[in-house]
Amino acid sequence: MPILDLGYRNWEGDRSHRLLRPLVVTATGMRLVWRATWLRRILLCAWLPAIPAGFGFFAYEQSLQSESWRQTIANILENGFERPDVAASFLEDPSLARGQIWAMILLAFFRYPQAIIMVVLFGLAAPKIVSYDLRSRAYLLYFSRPLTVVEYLVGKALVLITLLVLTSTIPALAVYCLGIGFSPDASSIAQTWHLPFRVLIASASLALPTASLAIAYSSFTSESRYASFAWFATWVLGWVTYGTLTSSELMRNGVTIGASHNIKLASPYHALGEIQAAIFGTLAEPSDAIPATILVTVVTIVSMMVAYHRVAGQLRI
Amino acid sequence: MSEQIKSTASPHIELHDVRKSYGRRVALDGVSLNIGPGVTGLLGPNGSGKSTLIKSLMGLVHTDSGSGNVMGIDWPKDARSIRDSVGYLPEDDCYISGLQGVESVQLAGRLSGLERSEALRRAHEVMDFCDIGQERYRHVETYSTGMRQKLKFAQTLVHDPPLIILDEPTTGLDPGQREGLLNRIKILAKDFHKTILLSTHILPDVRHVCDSVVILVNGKVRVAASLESLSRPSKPGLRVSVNANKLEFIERVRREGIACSEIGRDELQLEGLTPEDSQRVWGWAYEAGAAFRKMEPSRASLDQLFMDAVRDAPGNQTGINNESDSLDASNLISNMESNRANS
Repeated sequence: MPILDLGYRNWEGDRSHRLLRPLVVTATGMRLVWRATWLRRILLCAWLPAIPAGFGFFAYEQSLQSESWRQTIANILENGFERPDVAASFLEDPSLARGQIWAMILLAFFRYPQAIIMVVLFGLAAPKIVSYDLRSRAYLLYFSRPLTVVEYLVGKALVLITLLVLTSTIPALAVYCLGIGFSPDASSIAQTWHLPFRVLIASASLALPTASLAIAYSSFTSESRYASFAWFATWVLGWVTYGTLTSSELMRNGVTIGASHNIKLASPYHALGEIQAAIFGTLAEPSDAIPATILVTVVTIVSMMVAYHRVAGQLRI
Repeated sequence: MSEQIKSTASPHIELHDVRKSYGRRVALDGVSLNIGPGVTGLLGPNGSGKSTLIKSLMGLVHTDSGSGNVMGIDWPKDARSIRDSVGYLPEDDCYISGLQGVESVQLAGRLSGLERSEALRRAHEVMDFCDIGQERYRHVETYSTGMRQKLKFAQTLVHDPPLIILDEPTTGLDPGQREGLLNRIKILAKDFHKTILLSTHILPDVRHVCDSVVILVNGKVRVAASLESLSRPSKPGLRVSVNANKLEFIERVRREGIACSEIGRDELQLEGLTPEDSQRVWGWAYEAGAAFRKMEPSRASLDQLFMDAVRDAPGNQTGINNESDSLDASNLISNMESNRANS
C-alpha cells in the first residue's frame, strides 16, 4: 500500500506543431542506431578520408609556388582522373583552375570513400529501420498519433540522411572551409563559392535515392537480415555487372552493349557517380548524366511508393 | 434494439451510416452510433467489424461512406486531428525494441506533441498511475505480456486524451492486474470524465466497468443501449440461491402455479414474481424447509443477450446457431466469472 498515491492527474500544456512530429521519429531512430558501438566507430572512421582530401587542397595550393608539385598534380589529373584537358589548362594557368581542381578533389572524396562507407553504414543501420517496426507492430504506436504514413517514412529516411550528412556532407564542408582558411588570398572564395552548394546537392543526390531504396527493402520484410542481403546484393551485383561489361576482353570481342555511359546504368554505384560528377561539373559532357539521372529518379519514386504501400498496407489488416 | 445511449449528455462520438468494404466483404454496413461520456463496451464476435470501426474512427482506415463527429471534430474529414484527442490501446503487442519502458511512454507523448522533458515527466506520472515500478527502466522487449499491457495503457494516457479507445485491454493480465486495470478505467471515467470505448470479448469486464453497450454483428449495430436498461428483464421474476431442500422448495413453488427453472447451481428463477412477493416466497421456503443464501430481482443476462444478438443476426456466420451452443458459451463465461471470484 503506497504511503502517498497521487493517482491520475490531468495534463495541460502546449503541443508542438504537427509538421515537427516526424522529427520525433528521427530522434528515436537516431537514438537506437547510436547505441550500436560499430556505428559510432564507422562514423569516426568516415572522417579519415577527409585527411587525404585536405592534403589534396594543400598540394594544389603548394603547386601554385612549386613547379615539381605542379607537374605531379598534372600527372595525377591526366592518368588518375583521365582528364588531360584539365591537366593542360592547369599547367597553362594553375591559379585559374582552382575551382575545377577543388571540385575534382571533393568529387573523389564523395565518389570513392564516402559512397562505400554509405553502402556499409546503410547496410548495417537501414534494414532494421522499418522491418523492426513491422515485426513488433510499433507502427500502431506511431499511427495512433497524428502522424501520416508519409511523415513516418520521412522521419525514418531522415535517420539515414542524418548519418550520410555526418559522414559525407559535414566532412566535405569542413575540408572546403580548411581549404579556404589556408589559401593564400581571397580570390579562392570568388573561384570556389559554388562548391558548398555543389556539396549539398551531391549529398542530396546520394542520400535521397539510397535512403528510399534502403527503406523500401526494409519495409519488404520483418526479417532485417533479408533486407541487409538485398541491399548488399544490389551494390555487389551492380559492381560485378559493371566490371564484367567493361572488361577489356568483352569489349575487344565486340559485345555490343551500348556506350560506356549506359553501361554505368547497370551499377547503382556508377550511376550515382555519374550524377555526382555532373553536379561537381567535372563531367566532360554533362548531358551524359541524363540517363543515370532518369534511372535514379525512377528507382527513387518506385522505392518510395513501395515503402508507402507496404507500411500503409499493415493498417488494413 | 438501438437507442441513443446517453440521452442526457451530448454524444462524444456520433456516426451516421458508416460503410466500409474490403473487396466484396462488407466490414461495416451502415453503422450509426451515438456514444456519450462514460464507459461503452463494444462487443461482437470475431470479424464483426469492431477493429474496423475503431480504425475508421481514428482515420487509419478510409471508409466508403458515412459522416459524423468525434469529440466535436468533423469525421472523417479531420480524422488526423481526432488522433490528438484519442488515446488508443491496440489489441496487438506494439513496442519498439531497444527502448526502455519509460522511453516508450515518453515517445508516445512526444508523438502527441509534448515537449521532450514534459513528456518524460508525464511518462513517469502515468506509469506511477499504471502501477509500473522500477520495471520502467528495463527494455520493453524483456517485458511480460501483462507488463506490456500496462505499458500500452500508460502510452494511451500520456497526453491526457478526453477519448480513450481500449482494444482488449485485459488480455494477458493476471486477475489482480486485471482488477487494477478495470478500476483505473472506472476512475478515469467517473473522476476524470473520460469517454472510454472498451472493445472486448470478456463480458464480466463489460459488466464490471461499462455504462452502456454496443453489440456489432456482421458489420451492423445489433444492440446499442445502456447496461442498466439491458439488465432490465422483459418480464418480472425473482432469482434465489437455495442452500438446502431445493427440490422440496421447487415442488412447493410449482404447487402455487409459478414457473420455476434452474439457472445455475443452486440458483432458481421464479417467473412472474416481484420484490413485493418476497414475503410469500419466504413462507414457501419455510414450509419446504429450504434455506436461502440470496434473493434478488431477475436481471437479463448480458451473455444471453450477446448470444441472442449474434444468433439472430441476418447472415450469422459465427458458429453460434442453436440453444446448446448458447448454453455452452454461457457456462464458459459463468466458469470464468466464478474463477475470477475465487481468485
